[in-house]
Amino acid sequence: MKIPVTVVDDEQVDRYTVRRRLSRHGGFRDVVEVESGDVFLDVHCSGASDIETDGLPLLILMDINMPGRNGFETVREMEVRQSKGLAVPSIVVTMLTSSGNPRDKAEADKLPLVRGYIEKPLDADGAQRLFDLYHAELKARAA
Amino acid sequence: MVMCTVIDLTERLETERRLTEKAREAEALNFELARFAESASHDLKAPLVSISGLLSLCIEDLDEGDIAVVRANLDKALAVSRESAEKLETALALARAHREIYPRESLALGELVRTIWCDIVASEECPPSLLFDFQTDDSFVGARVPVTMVLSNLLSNAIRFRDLSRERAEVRVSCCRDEKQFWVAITDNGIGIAQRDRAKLFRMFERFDARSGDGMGLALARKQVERLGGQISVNSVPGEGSEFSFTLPLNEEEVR
Repeated sequence: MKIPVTVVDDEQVDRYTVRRRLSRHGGFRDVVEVESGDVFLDVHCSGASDIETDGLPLLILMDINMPGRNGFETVREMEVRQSKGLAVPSIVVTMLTSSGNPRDKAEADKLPLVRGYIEKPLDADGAQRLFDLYHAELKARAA
Repeated sequence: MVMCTVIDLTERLETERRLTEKAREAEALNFELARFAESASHDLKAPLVSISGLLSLCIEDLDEGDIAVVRANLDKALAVSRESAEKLETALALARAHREIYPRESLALGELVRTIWCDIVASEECPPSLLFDFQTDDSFVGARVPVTMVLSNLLSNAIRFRDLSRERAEVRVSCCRDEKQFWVAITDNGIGIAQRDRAKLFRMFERFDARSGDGMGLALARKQVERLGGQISVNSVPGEGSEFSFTLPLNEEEVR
């Protein structure tokens, strides 16, 4: 089973690094790239989304600092839309950011949808952490 | 017998007042510095992180002999580092802004705008129409460099955020004056600015979508206007357009 994954990040270079790192790892599907939180909400949380998950939770790697809605605002809005049945039904969000600011980490902790916080750049260890975190979440949900 | 001492406190009170004022200025400067350090460290770290992500991939690709991919990624890393050096240059200009002293000279708004406009639209295939709406004589005494910086930022934003679905994009420059100040407005019929973005508009490094520049332009514009003793503000209706206006204080001899 490969993990369906989307990266929401305005930096093309950082999306590329994620794509390469996850493909090197081997445990992930092709990364769906989205260039902002606003676009993610419009395209994938407004009633229909073309992201194939085959019933698996979608792993979302969310940048924090983006033009328009930032990562936190996007996750909060995603929660609202999920409760209305407009968003991808099952998701695991991990913040993926260049910010090491404790305030950002604390803010991420407060959001029920967020399961992890990884600092950029994503490397081989980070990819493995994402893989483990996702499987731990699947186990927890199955229990 | 009545003894009486009279002490004149005027000077002491004046000294105290000055000290309080200095303390307040220092506090404001500290706050600004802390905010600068925070956004700078955050936003200048981001490109370095992007570059290190690319370089670590390059090392692995190099080990695997994938030279074409290494080359392409080194090019990307180079582009990110150049962009970020430019951004840093603007941040430094902003940090320096309060120290630079510019000579004041007699300026004409229409002439300034036309020169800046020609520079900006030179690379535009289909630039908006430029209109003037002057309620007053457009000459004023001011510092050419900062005023030009402010106008260029506002004009280039008006062009960049134009509404492409509109048949005719327009940018209107207006001015008027009262006994105290010269007022300039740049109005466009562009895409407008959402309410939630308006508060962040003049902050450093804030970008709103792919059309945004490095997120420094309006921060620099505000800094310059405030340094000149004026104020900058924005009004906008999403889908209809935006109006940025600023004031410049007039010297007594300029009042007419």
